[in-house]
Amino acid sequence: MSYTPISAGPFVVGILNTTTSAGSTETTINYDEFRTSRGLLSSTPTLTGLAFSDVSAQVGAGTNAYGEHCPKTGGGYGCDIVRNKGKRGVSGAVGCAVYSSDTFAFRYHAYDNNDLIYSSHGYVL
Amino acid sequence: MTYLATISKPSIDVSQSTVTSPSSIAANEKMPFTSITHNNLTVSSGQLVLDANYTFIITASAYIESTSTSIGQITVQLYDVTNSAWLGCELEMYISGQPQTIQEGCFARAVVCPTVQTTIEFRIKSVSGNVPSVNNPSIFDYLGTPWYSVASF
Repeated sequence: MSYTPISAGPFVVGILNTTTSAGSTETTINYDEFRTSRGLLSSTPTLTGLAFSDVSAQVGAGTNAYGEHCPKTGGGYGCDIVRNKGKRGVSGAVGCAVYSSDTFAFRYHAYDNNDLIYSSHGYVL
Repeated sequence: MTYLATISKPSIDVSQSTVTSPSSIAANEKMPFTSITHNNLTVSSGQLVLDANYTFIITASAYIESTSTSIGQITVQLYDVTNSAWLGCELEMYISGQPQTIQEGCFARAVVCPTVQTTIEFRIKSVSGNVPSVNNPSIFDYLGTPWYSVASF
Protein backbone atom coordinates (compact mmCIF):
# COMPACT_ATOMS: atom_id res chain seq x y z
CA MET A 1 0.00 0.00 0.00
CA SER A 2 1.30 3.44 -0.86
CA TYR A 3 -0.03 6.68 0.43
CA THR A 4 1.28 10.14 -0.38
CA PRO A 5 -0.66 12.81 1.41
CA ILE A 6 -0.53 16.37 0.13
CA SER A 7 -2.28 18.82 2.38
CA ALA A 8 -2.41 22.01 0.41
CA GLY A 9 -3.84 24.27 3.04
CA PRO A 10 -6.14 27.13 2.16
CA PHE A 11 -3.78 28.97 -0.21
CA VAL A 12 -2.13 28.46 -3.56
CA VAL A 13 0.34 31.25 -4.36
CA GLY A 14 1.63 32.24 -7.82
CA ILE A 15 4.91 34.15 -8.22
CA LEU A 16 6.21 35.98 -11.29
CA ASN A 17 10.00 36.22 -11.41
CA THR A 18 10.57 37.04 -15.06
CA THR A 19 10.06 40.57 -16.36
CA THR A 20 7.52 40.64 -19.15
CA SER A 21 5.60 43.30 -21.00
CA ALA A 22 2.03 44.04 -21.97
CA GLY A 23 0.51 46.78 -24.08
CA SER A 24 -2.99 48.10 -24.47
CA THR A 25 -4.41 44.72 -25.43
CA GLU A 26 -5.18 42.53 -22.48
CA THR A 27 -2.51 39.88 -22.16
CA THR A 28 -2.47 36.69 -20.14
CA ILE A 29 0.73 36.41 -18.10
CA ASN A 30 1.72 33.13 -16.52
CA TYR A 31 3.39 32.85 -13.16
CA ASP A 32 6.82 31.25 -12.90
CA GLU A 33 6.24 29.41 -9.62
CA PHE A 34 3.33 27.97 -7.73
CA ARG A 35 3.56 27.20 -4.05
CA THR A 36 1.34 25.66 -1.45
CA SER A 37 2.03 25.04 2.19
CA ARG A 38 3.86 21.89 1.09
CA GLY A 39 6.21 23.61 -1.35
CA LEU A 40 6.48 24.01 -5.10
CA LEU A 41 3.96 22.59 -7.53
CA SER A 42 5.51 21.01 -10.59
CA SER A 43 3.00 22.40 -13.07
CA THR A 44 0.50 25.18 -13.54
CA PRO A 45 -2.55 24.33 -11.48
CA THR A 46 -6.18 24.60 -12.48
CA LEU A 47 -8.06 26.03 -9.55
CA THR A 48 -11.47 26.83 -8.18
CA GLY A 49 -11.78 29.57 -5.59
CA LEU A 50 -11.35 33.27 -4.99
CA ALA A 51 -8.28 34.61 -6.79
CA PHE A 52 -6.34 37.83 -6.19
CA SER A 53 -3.62 39.50 -8.27
CA ASP A 54 -1.03 42.12 -7.38
CA VAL A 55 1.45 43.66 -9.78
CA SER A 56 4.46 45.97 -9.80
CA ALA A 57 5.19 47.48 -13.20
CA GLN A 58 7.36 50.05 -14.90
CA VAL A 59 6.02 52.40 -17.56
CA GLY A 60 7.17 51.80 -21.12
CA ALA A 61 6.19 55.00 -22.91
CA GLY A 62 3.27 57.31 -23.37
CA THR A 63 1.68 59.84 -21.11
CA ASN A 64 -0.79 57.74 -19.19
CA ALA A 65 0.92 55.52 -16.69
CA TYR A 66 -1.96 53.28 -15.88
CA GLY A 67 -1.94 49.53 -15.87
CA GLU A 68 -4.87 47.32 -15.05
CA HIS A 69 -4.75 43.73 -13.90
CA CYS A 70 -7.04 40.94 -12.84
CA PRO A 71 -6.79 37.18 -12.26
CA LYS A 72 -9.44 36.59 -14.93
CA THR A 73 -10.98 38.59 -17.75
CA GLY A 74 -14.14 40.30 -16.60
CA GLY A 75 -13.41 40.21 -12.86
CA GLY A 76 -12.69 43.11 -10.54
CA TYR A 77 -9.64 44.92 -11.90
CA GLY A 78 -6.93 46.47 -9.81
CA CYS A 79 -4.98 49.42 -11.13
CA ASP A 80 -1.35 50.38 -10.79
CA ILE A 81 0.11 53.81 -11.35
CA VAL A 82 3.28 52.34 -12.71
CA ARG A 83 6.77 53.41 -11.73
CA ASN A 84 9.04 56.02 -13.29
CA LYS A 85 6.35 58.38 -14.43
CA GLY A 86 7.17 61.91 -13.35
CA LYS A 87 6.41 62.69 -9.76
CA ARG A 88 3.33 60.57 -9.56
CA GLY A 89 3.09 58.27 -6.66
CA VAL A 90 3.62 54.57 -6.80
CA SER A 91 0.85 52.46 -5.51
CA GLY A 92 -1.22 49.51 -6.43
CA ALA A 93 -4.56 47.95 -6.02
CA VAL A 94 -5.43 44.29 -5.96
CA GLY A 95 -7.49 42.57 -8.63
CA CYS A 96 -9.99 39.88 -7.75
CA ALA A 97 -12.02 37.23 -9.57
CA VAL A 98 -13.74 33.93 -8.97
CA TYR A 99 -11.99 30.91 -10.47
CA SER A 100 -14.00 27.91 -11.57
CA SER A 101 -11.54 25.33 -12.89
CA ASP A 102 -9.42 28.16 -14.30
CA THR A 103 -5.72 28.16 -15.06
CA PHE A 104 -3.87 30.19 -12.43
CA ALA A 105 -2.51 33.29 -14.22
CA PHE A 106 -3.28 36.98 -14.44
CA ARG A 107 -4.29 39.47 -17.12
CA TYR A 108 -2.68 42.85 -17.66
CA HIS A 109 -3.09 45.74 -20.03
CA ALA A 110 -1.51 49.17 -20.13
CA TYR A 111 -3.58 52.24 -20.84
CA ASP A 112 -1.55 53.18 -23.90
CA ASN A 113 1.95 51.77 -24.38
CA ASN A 114 3.83 48.75 -23.17
CA ASP A 115 4.51 48.44 -19.46
CA LEU A 116 7.15 46.18 -18.00
CA ILE A 117 5.79 43.88 -15.34
CA TYR A 118 8.67 42.87 -13.15
CA SER A 119 6.88 41.43 -10.18
CA SER A 120 3.56 39.86 -9.47
CA HIS A 121 2.07 37.71 -6.77
CA GLY A 122 -1.30 36.09 -6.81
CA TYR A 123 -3.10 33.77 -4.47
CA VAL A 124 -6.24 31.70 -4.49
CA LEU A 125 -8.42 30.97 -1.49
CA MET B 1 -4.83 -0.81 -2.27
CA THR B 2 -3.46 2.40 -3.74
CA TYR B 3 -4.32 5.87 -2.56
CA LEU B 4 -3.89 8.72 -5.00
CA ALA B 5 -2.41 11.98 -3.85
CA THR B 6 -4.97 14.76 -3.98
CA ILE B 7 -5.02 18.41 -3.14
CA SER B 8 -8.07 19.03 -1.04
CA LYS B 9 -9.37 22.37 0.05
CA PRO B 10 -11.77 23.15 2.83
CA SER B 11 -15.34 23.78 1.76
CA ILE B 12 -15.61 27.48 1.08
CA ASP B 13 -18.07 29.65 -0.82
CA VAL B 14 -16.55 32.50 -2.84
CA SER B 15 -18.12 35.37 -4.81
CA GLN B 16 -17.08 38.65 -6.36
CA SER B 17 -19.09 41.63 -7.55
CA THR B 18 -18.81 45.41 -7.84
CA VAL B 19 -19.08 48.53 -5.71
CA THR B 20 -20.96 51.58 -6.95
CA SER B 21 -20.65 55.30 -6.35
CA PRO B 22 -21.61 56.99 -3.10
CA SER B 23 -24.13 59.80 -3.37
CA SER B 24 -21.40 62.20 -2.29
CA ILE B 25 -17.82 62.13 -1.10
CA ALA B 26 -18.39 62.71 2.60
CA ALA B 27 -17.80 60.90 5.85
CA ASN B 28 -20.35 58.17 6.65
CA GLU B 29 -21.57 57.93 3.04
CA LYS B 30 -22.17 54.39 1.86
CA MET B 31 -20.45 52.95 -1.20
CA PRO B 32 -23.18 50.48 -2.19
CA PHE B 33 -22.51 46.83 -2.90
CA THR B 34 -24.23 45.45 -6.01
CA SER B 35 -25.98 42.09 -6.00
CA ILE B 36 -24.01 38.91 -5.48
CA THR B 37 -24.79 35.22 -5.49
CA HIS B 38 -23.49 33.80 -2.26
CA ASN B 39 -24.73 31.39 0.35
CA ASN B 40 -25.51 32.72 3.79
CA LEU B 41 -25.87 36.38 2.89
CA THR B 42 -28.15 38.74 0.99
CA VAL B 43 -27.65 42.22 -0.44
CA SER B 44 -30.21 44.80 0.63
CA SER B 45 -30.00 48.53 -0.10
CA GLY B 46 -26.34 48.17 -0.99
CA GLN B 47 -25.53 46.45 2.29
CA LEU B 48 -24.57 42.86 3.06
CA VAL B 49 -26.85 41.03 5.48
CA LEU B 50 -24.79 38.18 6.93
CA ASP B 51 -26.30 35.07 8.45
CA ALA B 52 -25.17 34.07 11.92
CA ASN B 53 -22.61 31.39 12.72
CA TYR B 54 -20.47 31.59 9.60
CA THR B 55 -17.06 33.15 9.07
CA PHE B 56 -16.90 35.77 6.30
CA ILE B 57 -13.75 37.20 4.74
CA ILE B 58 -14.84 40.42 3.04
CA THR B 59 -12.54 42.43 0.78
CA ALA B 60 -13.48 45.67 -0.99
CA SER B 61 -11.78 48.10 -3.35
CA ALA B 62 -12.62 51.67 -4.34
CA TYR B 63 -11.47 54.36 -6.76
CA ILE B 64 -12.26 58.02 -6.75
CA GLU B 65 -11.18 60.41 -9.46
CA SER B 66 -9.46 63.69 -8.87
CA THR B 67 -11.29 65.98 -11.29
CA SER B 68 -9.17 69.07 -10.77
CA THR B 69 -6.05 70.18 -8.94
CA SER B 70 -7.63 69.15 -5.68
CA ILE B 71 -5.44 67.45 -3.13
CA GLY B 72 -6.95 65.36 -0.40
CA GLN B 73 -7.25 62.07 1.38
CA ILE B 74 -10.13 59.66 1.76
CA THR B 75 -10.37 56.58 3.95
CA VAL B 76 -12.96 53.87 3.41
CA GLN B 77 -13.67 50.91 5.67
CA LEU B 78 -16.15 48.13 6.22
CA TYR B 79 -18.70 49.04 8.86
CA ASP B 80 -20.91 46.91 11.08
CA VAL B 81 -24.25 48.69 10.89
CA THR B 82 -25.90 46.35 13.40
CA ASN B 83 -23.34 46.99 16.12
CA SER B 84 -22.12 50.45 15.04
CA ALA B 85 -18.49 49.42 14.75
CA TRP B 86 -15.71 49.75 12.18
CA LEU B 87 -14.35 46.44 10.97
CA GLY B 88 -10.91 45.26 9.91
CA CYS B 89 -8.47 47.42 8.00
CA GLU B 90 -9.28 50.58 6.06
CA LEU B 91 -8.06 51.64 2.65
CA GLU B 92 -6.65 55.08 2.03
CA MET B 93 -6.77 57.08 -1.18
CA TYR B 94 -4.61 60.11 -1.74
CA ILE B 95 -5.86 62.52 -4.36
CA SER B 96 -2.76 63.96 -5.97
CA GLY B 97 -4.06 66.95 -7.85
CA GLN B 98 -4.04 65.21 -11.22
CA PRO B 99 -6.96 63.47 -12.91
CA GLN B 100 -6.16 60.12 -11.46
CA THR B 101 -6.52 58.22 -8.25
CA ILE B 102 -3.58 57.12 -6.18
CA GLN B 103 -4.81 54.45 -3.89
CA GLU B 104 -2.79 53.27 -0.95
CA GLY B 105 -3.71 50.47 1.33
CA CYS B 106 -4.95 48.55 -1.71
CA PHE B 107 -8.20 47.35 -0.25
CA ALA B 108 -10.32 47.25 2.87
CA ARG B 109 -10.77 43.86 4.44
CA ALA B 110 -12.30 42.25 7.47
CA VAL B 111 -13.03 38.86 8.91
CA VAL B 112 -16.50 38.74 10.44
CA CYS B 113 -17.92 35.92 12.58
CA PRO B 114 -21.43 37.07 13.49
CA THR B 115 -23.44 35.27 16.16
CA VAL B 116 -26.62 37.03 15.06
CA GLN B 117 -27.72 38.27 11.64
CA THR B 118 -25.51 41.28 10.95
CA THR B 119 -25.60 44.08 8.38
CA ILE B 120 -22.32 45.30 6.87
CA GLU B 121 -21.64 48.21 4.55
CA PHE B 122 -18.66 49.83 2.81
CA ARG B 123 -18.50 53.33 4.23
CA ILE B 124 -16.39 56.46 3.79
CA LYS B 125 -14.73 56.95 7.15
CA SER B 126 -13.00 60.27 6.69
CA VAL B 127 -12.36 62.96 4.10
CA SER B 128 -9.67 65.58 4.38
CA GLY B 129 -8.40 68.28 2.09
CA ASN B 130 -10.11 69.32 -1.10
CA VAL B 131 -11.59 66.31 -2.85
CA PRO B 132 -14.04 66.03 -5.74
CA SER B 133 -17.71 66.22 -4.98
CA VAL B 134 -18.55 63.02 -6.82
CA ASN B 135 -16.62 60.14 -8.24
CA ASN B 136 -16.70 59.33 -11.89
CA PRO B 137 -17.48 55.77 -12.94
CA SER B 138 -16.42 56.53 -16.51
CA ILE B 139 -12.78 56.38 -15.50
CA PHE B 140 -13.09 52.87 -14.18
CA ASP B 141 -12.22 51.41 -17.55
CA TYR B 142 -8.61 52.31 -17.08
CA LEU B 143 -8.27 52.85 -13.36
CA GLY B 144 -9.58 49.48 -12.37
CA THR B 145 -12.98 48.37 -11.27
CA PRO B 146 -14.31 49.00 -7.78
CA TRP B 147 -15.09 45.50 -6.57
CA TYR B 148 -15.77 43.45 -3.48
CA SER B 149 -15.49 39.79 -2.73
CA VAL B 150 -16.74 37.42 -0.06
CA ALA B 151 -15.33 34.11 1.07
CA SER B 152 -17.29 32.25 3.72
CA PHE B 153 -17.14 28.94 5.48
